[in-house]
Amino acid sequence: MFMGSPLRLTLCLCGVVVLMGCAREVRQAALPLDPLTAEEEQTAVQVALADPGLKQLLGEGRHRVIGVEFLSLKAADAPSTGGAPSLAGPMGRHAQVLLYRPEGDFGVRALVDLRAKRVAQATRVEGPRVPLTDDDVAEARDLAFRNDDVRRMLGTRIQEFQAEGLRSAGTSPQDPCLRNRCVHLLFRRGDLYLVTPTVIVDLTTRTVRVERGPQ
Amino acid sequence: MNRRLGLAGCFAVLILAATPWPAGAQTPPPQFCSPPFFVLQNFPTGGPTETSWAICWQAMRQYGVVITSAHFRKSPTAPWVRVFWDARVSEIFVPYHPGFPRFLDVSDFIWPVVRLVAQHCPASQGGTLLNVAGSILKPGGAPGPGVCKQVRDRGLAWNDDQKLRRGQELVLWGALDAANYNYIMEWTFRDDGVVLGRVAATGVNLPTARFVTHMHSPTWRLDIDLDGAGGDSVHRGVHTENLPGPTATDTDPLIAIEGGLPWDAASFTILKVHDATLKNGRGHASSYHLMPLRYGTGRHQEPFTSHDFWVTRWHPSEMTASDLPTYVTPAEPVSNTDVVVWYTASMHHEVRDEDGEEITIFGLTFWSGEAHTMWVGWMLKPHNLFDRTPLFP
Repeated sequence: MFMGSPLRLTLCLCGVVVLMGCAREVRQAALPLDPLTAEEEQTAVQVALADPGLKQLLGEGRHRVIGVEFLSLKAADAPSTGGAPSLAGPMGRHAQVLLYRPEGDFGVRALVDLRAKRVAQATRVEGPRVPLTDDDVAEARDLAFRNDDVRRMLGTRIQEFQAEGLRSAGTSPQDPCLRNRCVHLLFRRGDLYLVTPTVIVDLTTRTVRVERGPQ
Repeated sequence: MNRRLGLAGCFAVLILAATPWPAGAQTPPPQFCSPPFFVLQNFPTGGPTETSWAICWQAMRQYGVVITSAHFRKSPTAPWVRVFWDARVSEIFVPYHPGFPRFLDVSDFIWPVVRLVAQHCPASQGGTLLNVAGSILKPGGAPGPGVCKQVRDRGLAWNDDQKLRRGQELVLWGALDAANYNYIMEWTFRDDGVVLGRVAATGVNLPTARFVTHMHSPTWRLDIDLDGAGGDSVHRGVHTENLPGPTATDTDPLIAIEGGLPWDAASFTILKVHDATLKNGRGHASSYHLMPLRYGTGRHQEPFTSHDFWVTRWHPSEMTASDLPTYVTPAEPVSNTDVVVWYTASMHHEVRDEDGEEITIFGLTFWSGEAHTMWVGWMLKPHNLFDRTPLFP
């Protein structure tokens, strides 16, 4: 194919080498809509926690990371005329970090620009709007397993039970879970779920409520 | 020195890439993500390409499978048209008939995504497992399969006596592990430009309310950016039978400001999303129609459930369906701008013996059994996007 054209062959080989180099460069940087890498998630949290505005919103004391979420931003109201609007891509790389402070029961959501390494926006989130996490369920489980009623109910095989949790949002103005961070615990052994009683753990007051009523 | 040469080569390649594409040649797909999050699907899978989808997806804790970009190309020489900027299930509301519990199954919890196994996605059904980060999955650990990609026959695209065309579709699906329940989130991209979004609820009835009827109502947030982000408008498709006479009329009034609107069965309510400039080869304005696939209508005391559709102006922080009433107060104009449409459908789960049974072990009562999948969803259908019947000789 390349007979009589050594120059062409050389150029082709150079092209391959250059393209391999390009591919290596491309592999090093995430494309705009790739999921956040573990490093990016870590950076997002670090940037958020270093931000003076966020610090002011969050205040002093214990806090934890609820989640780091990918967010793709676009130039607002970009006109549809001219150019190739269908091919317009996202602006930069962004993450949304949600932090929770148990004392006071509230969270702070930060929009982090990962390229500029700065917080673009930080807003307070009221406690009932901060999602539960696996950590909340683990904490609720530990509290429940120390509760006498729960221990009596699960008996000597208590450690064989796994716990799963749902948010208990409260059912009446008298129910503290209307305001507090509460977990409705489900207990399972393998594929089987225990049907009674209902166990509600109030993480805000660190109390366990066991309801044995008919279901 | 080598690095400089390499960069120069890269620039050369970029310049070549930026050179106008010759008319009649295949246009390269817009690619904003890397494989396996980038899926380029040409149809049909055998023979010359007729239509194509270029899609980016992610599996996210809390949201499950999210489409982060979708472009469609109606012929190999046509330009790529953006359909979605982002499409996701924003909420799944689960109210029980006695008034409690009332779960917001997306925003209440940072749920993981189910780690799939080979049986979820058999190769014999056109399936390929796609890996995601282990931190998203349950069980956790190493990166592993969180999404199933299936490319499959979808039955008849059209039929006329002995002449027919079978269609094909690409399906991306995964499952959100919401404690006792799993939610299957499915996104289907068809060879005729149609998109289908569905959610199924399946799993174990809430053990402490195992005999209590309830609803599962997903709300989808669909950021439809037809041919790009700006210049979109939404019309409400309304059908009217002029009773008692024999005639019928259809209208499609513009939705000028943000707000919610109900789905009405007798009106065949749909949303028509137009772009200001996108036209087909016949000069007709192109649009995509959001068409409900539903059993009934769930209305509850929560204000966001007072409507089946909502239309909002795009704001990056507006992702939560239960906040919709605040997003539209005060109402902003939504004509010829960047719009987001939201759609809610409900599964009415009347519990049945087939869901499971109580069994007693060691003196304790357990629930055993699985509620089978129940689906609800929508169709997004192109209208005047093609110049003629697609998939037709």
